Amino acid sequence: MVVNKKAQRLSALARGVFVALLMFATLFPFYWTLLISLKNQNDAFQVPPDLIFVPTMENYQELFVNGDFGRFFLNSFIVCFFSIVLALAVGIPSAYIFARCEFKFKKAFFYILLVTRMSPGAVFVIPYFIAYMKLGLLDTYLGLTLIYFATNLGIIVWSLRAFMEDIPITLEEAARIDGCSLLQTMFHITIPLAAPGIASTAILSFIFSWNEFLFALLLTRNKVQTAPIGILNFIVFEKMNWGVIAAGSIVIALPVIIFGIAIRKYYVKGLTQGGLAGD
Amino acid sequence: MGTPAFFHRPGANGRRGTRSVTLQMERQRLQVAFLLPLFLALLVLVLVPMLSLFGLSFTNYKLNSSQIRFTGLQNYLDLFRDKDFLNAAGNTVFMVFWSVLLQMVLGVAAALAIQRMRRLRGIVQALIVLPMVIPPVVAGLIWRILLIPRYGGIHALLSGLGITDAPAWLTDPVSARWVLVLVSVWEWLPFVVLFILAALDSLPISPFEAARIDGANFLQELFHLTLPLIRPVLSMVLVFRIVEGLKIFPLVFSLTQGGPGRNTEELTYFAYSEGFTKFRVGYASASSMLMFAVLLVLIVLFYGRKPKEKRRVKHQ
Repeated sequence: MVVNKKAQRLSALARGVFVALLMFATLFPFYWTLLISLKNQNDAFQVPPDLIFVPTMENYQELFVNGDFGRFFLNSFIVCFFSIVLALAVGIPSAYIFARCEFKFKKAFFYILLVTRMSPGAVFVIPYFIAYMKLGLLDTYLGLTLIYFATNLGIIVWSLRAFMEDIPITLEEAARIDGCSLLQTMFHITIPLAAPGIASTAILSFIFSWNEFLFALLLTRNKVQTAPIGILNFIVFEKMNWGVIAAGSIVIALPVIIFGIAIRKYYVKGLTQGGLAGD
Repeated sequence: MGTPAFFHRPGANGRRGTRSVTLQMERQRLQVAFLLPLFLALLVLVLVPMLSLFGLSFTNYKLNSSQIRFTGLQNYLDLFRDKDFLNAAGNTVFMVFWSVLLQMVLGVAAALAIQRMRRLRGIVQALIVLPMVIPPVVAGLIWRILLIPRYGGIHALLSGLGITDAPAWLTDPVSARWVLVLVSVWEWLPFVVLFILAALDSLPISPFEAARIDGANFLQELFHLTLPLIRPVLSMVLVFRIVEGLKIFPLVFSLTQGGPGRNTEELTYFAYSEGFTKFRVGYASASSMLMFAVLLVLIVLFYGRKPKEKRRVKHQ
């Protein structure tokens, strides 16, 4: 028994060390980037690195004042916001029908949504580029919003269906007996009860759109450039100013880090429901 | 057409005569009204582009010329003789294989360790999501800053450990590929950990108690009990990671731009440079179609055999 206890304590220690190393590897890059973003050019590349330095905001200033980064940031917000509102407007009613009704081609619909969700951007970007070139939609808010809307539909319908299926149908039936129409039932019973699911799904889609790279790179030029593309300007056109790039990285990552931590419990649920429950 | 729509519940249809007839009509009208926007969106924004890509892949269409000619399978035949394409395909397989393998092995180990934690588990689970929620291009930039030779954070760490002869990470052909593998492991390990943790948490306790009474050691328990029990989640995560692994483009773009030489050029990068720097859109379309075909095969393999597996589990 004594040996057993010792072995247990030892394996607990090994586990602790392993998790500590894992967390260090996970977080050190963020810590380092934050440090670089707060150092001026001279302090940033000291060998060995100074642990004590006077933090400066000049990189952030440079980013927003001379780099005009606020504009890219705003573009990202505009495109993400409108594409998600649109995807919810189309997705919530369809998810309701998927959850509550049987109809022809239901499976086909579902597979198309699944493929939409999983396809690499390379599948869409060429046809979209050509179509947008002909329609004059390159570098427009409408153009980028439309493709984000399309790629968000998959995840939104898939996981909202799962959330709505979890709502007991008896509640809806009770409302129907009280004389509500189907439409009223959906608006007064199903949507309010599915609200937490809708909110987390919307946030998840926001993260995906915010992080999107390929479409934003090829379907925008200057006017509608989003933050993940805008930051590349500091690499290509100016002298490598790593402090500013670090500051930009922190600024772009911040909103999605907050959202990501907020919905971390949902992340698995939202994706699993869609992935495993698909018949 | 005209199939009546029913709720899932048996007996929801056909009650109470006329009222139910109007109800059914109401339901049908609602269905059409609710599904039509989705149908149109998928048709115009998903199916038409996919079919156009398919069509374009049989042409010699170029962005900088107005001529377009049907060339049959020529693009596909050329691709298989194109050294750059084969190189990109090989690099993609290399990076996806190693990255996913490491993610799965480390992910299981980490999830097992985190699940047994008594303290701090909440904080670990909250902070571990960081790498996977940030934009991949930012992940690439962060690591580029870390890997700056002589001044970067990795150099500082390694020299702290007494290692000073590290390779020039991003300009050495061998290490550049491994950097991409490791950065994508850093980025996506949390995903695997979260899913496996959730699966572990939902396992029943009694088989494990029985195993312990029978004197099973840790490895026996792991390979004969834990892993078989979480197999459905493992295979789902595996498919997910492979499919998502094909989207390594932003990382490549921000870290190596396909270099040095073409050592880290993968399939999307190949399509990008063929289509958008050499303007050979037809050719790029064919390469994207091949990538799409791989994805479809994966989806069919995974979702196609799903019902059978479900049945088997039920019968046991």
